[in-house]
Amino acid sequence: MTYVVLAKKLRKNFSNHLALDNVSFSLKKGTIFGLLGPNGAGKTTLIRIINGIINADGGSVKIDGKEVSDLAQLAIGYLPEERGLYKKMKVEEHLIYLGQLKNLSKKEAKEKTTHWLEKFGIDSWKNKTIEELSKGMAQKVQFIATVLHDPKLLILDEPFSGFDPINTELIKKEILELQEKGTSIILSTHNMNSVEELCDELALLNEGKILLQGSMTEIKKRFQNNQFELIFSGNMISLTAALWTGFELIKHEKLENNRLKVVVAGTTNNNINELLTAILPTCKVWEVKELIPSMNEIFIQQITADKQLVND
Amino acid sequence: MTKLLLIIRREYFSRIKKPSFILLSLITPFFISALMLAPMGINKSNFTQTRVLVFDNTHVLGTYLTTHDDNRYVTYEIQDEHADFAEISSKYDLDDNVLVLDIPQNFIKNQAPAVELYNKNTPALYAISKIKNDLYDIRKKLVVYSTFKLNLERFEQKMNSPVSVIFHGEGLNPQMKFFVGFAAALILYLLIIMYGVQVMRSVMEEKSNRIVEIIISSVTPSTLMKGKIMGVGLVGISQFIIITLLSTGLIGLFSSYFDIETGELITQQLQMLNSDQQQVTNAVQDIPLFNIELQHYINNLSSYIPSLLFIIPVFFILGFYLYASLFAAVGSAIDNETDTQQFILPITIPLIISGSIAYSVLQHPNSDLAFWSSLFPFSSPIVMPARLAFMDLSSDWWQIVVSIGILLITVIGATKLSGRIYRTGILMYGQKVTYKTIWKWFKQSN
Repeated sequence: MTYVVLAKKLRKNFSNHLALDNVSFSLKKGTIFGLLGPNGAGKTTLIRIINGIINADGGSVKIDGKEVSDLAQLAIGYLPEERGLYKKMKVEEHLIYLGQLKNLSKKEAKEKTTHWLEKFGIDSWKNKTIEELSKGMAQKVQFIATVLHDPKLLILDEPFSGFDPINTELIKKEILELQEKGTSIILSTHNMNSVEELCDELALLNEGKILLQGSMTEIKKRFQNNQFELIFSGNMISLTAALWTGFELIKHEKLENNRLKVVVAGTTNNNINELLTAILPTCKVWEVKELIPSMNEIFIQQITADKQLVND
Repeated sequence: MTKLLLIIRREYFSRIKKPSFILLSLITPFFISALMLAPMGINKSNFTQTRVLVFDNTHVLGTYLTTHDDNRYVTYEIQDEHADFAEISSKYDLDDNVLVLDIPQNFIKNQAPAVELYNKNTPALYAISKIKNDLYDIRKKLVVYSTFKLNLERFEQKMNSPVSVIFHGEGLNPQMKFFVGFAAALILYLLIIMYGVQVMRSVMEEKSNRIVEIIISSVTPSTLMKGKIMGVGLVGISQFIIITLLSTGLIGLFSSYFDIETGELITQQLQMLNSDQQQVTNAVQDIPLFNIELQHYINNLSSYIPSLLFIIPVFFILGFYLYASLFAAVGSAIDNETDTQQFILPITIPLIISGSIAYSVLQHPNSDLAFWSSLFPFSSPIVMPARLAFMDLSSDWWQIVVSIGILLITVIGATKLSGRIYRTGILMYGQKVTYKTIWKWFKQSN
C-alpha cells in the first residue's frame, strides 16, 4: 500500500537536545492526521523534516512513495505556524508568485487564484496589497496559497489561530472538502475541539517521542473506563442497593426537581443495558450515557503521566 | 533554475518599483550634475562683463590696453581727452559692471606706480586683478623697451609656445589613471556596501514577516539566498547605469544650456589665482593647455575599455556576492535592526580598510601593499579595480587571473558558510543571538 507519508524511525538532534526520538508514522490517502503535543514536543521539527526544510539525522521519510526532495515538496501544501506574506505585494500577484514556486505555470496560477478568491468571496481584494488586509483577511490569503497547487498532502500547523469563529468554520469546511477529494492532511494544533471534529487518526508527541498513536475511535475506546452518567428521580438508597451486584458509585449530585445525577463504574465489563436492567425497578431514569473521555482529557492525562514517569 | 529566476525577478521588480528606488535614481543625477557644475556655474555668474572706462593721462598706455589681451569679460574703453572725469565717475559709481580707471601721467616712470579705480559698489575681484595684471604687463614691456631697447612683445611672441612633455608611457596618462582608479574603487565600494546592506535588510524582512518558511517549503534556502543576492545585485547595477547615464546627460544639457565653457572658465580661474604671485607668466596663460590634455585623456581612455567592460564587472559581481552572502547570514541571524551592529562590524571593517588601501594604492600602484591587497579576497574587489588603470594587461594579466581565482574560491566558501548559518538562522525567532549561537547553527546545519 502506498502511503502519502511514510516516516520511519526519524531522529533529530539539536546541539544537546534530542528533538525527535525514533518517530514513525504513516498516513493514508484522504486521511486527516492530528499531530498533538505540548509546546516543544517536536511537532514543528517533524513537520519541517516532512517538508524537506530540515534534514533528519536518522530514519527516513517518503512522500507519496518518493524520498524528500524538490519534487516531493511540490506535492505538499504547507501552512506554517509562523506565517506571513510580503507586505508590499498585491494579493493576486502574491498568490501567483507562490503558485509558480510550486511549479504552476503563470496562467494556471492565475486561473486557480481567481477560482479560490471567488470561492472565498474575496475577489475584490485581488489588487489590494497585503499590508492593507486585516489579520483574518491575510490568513485567508495564506490558506489559499497553501492549497493553490492542489497538493496531495496538506500540512497545517495551527491553521485556526487568528481566525474568528465564522472563518474557523469556513476553513474547517474547506479542510473536509479537500479530504473528500482525496487530499491527506496533517493537522497540528492545540485546539482539541477541532481535533475531535476533524481527525481520523492522531499521534501524541511528547519530548520527541510518540506517546500514543492510532485512529480516533480506537484511542477513545482505549481510554474509556466503563463509566456511566445517570440522571434519575427516586430513592438513593434503593439505587445503591440495586447497583450492588455489578457497579460501584463514583459520585453523586443533587439536581433541581428532586433529580439526582450519579456517575457509576462497572466492576466487570458491564454495559449500559445491564446497568438499566439493574436500576429500572428502583427509579425513574431521565438520562443515561456512557462517559467517553474527551481528547483534551486524554491529552492532559497522558502528558502528565509521561512527565511523572520521567520525574520518577 | 526556474525557481531561482522567479526569486531573482521578484527581488528585482519589487525593488525597482519602489518609490524610493525611482526617486533616488532620478534625484541623484541632479545632485551629481549640480555638484560638478555648480562651481563652474557660480564662477560663470561671477564673470560678468565689466567695462573699464580708462582716463589715460600717459596717452600711451591706453592704446596698449585695448589691444593687449582679448578677454571676454573685461573690455577697456579709452575716454576722450576732453571727457569730464568727475561727471563720468559719478555717473557710473553705483554700477557694478562699469569701472572708471584713472591712470596718472607719471605711471610709467614712477617707482611705485599706482592707478585709481572708481566704483562705490563692489566690483568683481577678478576684474581688478585683470586690470592690475594688464597694467603691470604693459608697464613692464614699456620699461624694458625704454631701458634695454628690447621689444618684449615680439620676444614673447617668439617664445609663445610652452615646452611640451610628450608622454610616451603605455596606456593612460598618470593623472587620468589616478582619476579612473579612484572612481572605480569608490563606485565598487559604495555599491557593495549599499546593496550588501539591502540584502541583509531583505533577509531580515522575510524573517520578521514570517514568509520565509513558506518560501523554503518550495525552494531550498540556498536558492532563496542566491536569488536574493542576485536580484539585489542587479538592482545595484541598474541603479548605477541609470544614475551614470542620467548624470552624463544632465551635465551635457546643463552646460550647453547655461553656456558654460569649461576650458575658458578654468583658465580664467587659474589666471585669477595666479595673478598675485606669478604676474610675469600672465602673458602665456592663454595657451589652452587644459584642452590639449583633455583630448589626450579621451584618446587614451580607449585602452581602459577592456578593464571597464570585462574585468571590473567580474570584480563587482564576485565582490558583491562575497560580501552580500555574509550580510545575508547576518540578516538571517537577527530579528531586528538594532541587533545588527555587532555582526555588521566584522564585515564592514575589511571593506573600509580596503577603501583606504585602494586610495594609497592609487599613489603607489606598484607597492607590495598594492600587490598583496589586490590578491587578498576581502580587499581585492576594491583594490584591484583601483590598480587596474596602472597595470599593463599584457604582462600583468596573471595577477588578475590569480586574484579572480582566489576571490572565486572564497566566494564559494563564504556562500557555503553563510548558507549554513542562513538555513538555520531564518527559522529561529525571538532568540538572543551571539557568536556562540551562530557557531552552533553552523555546526548543526546539514
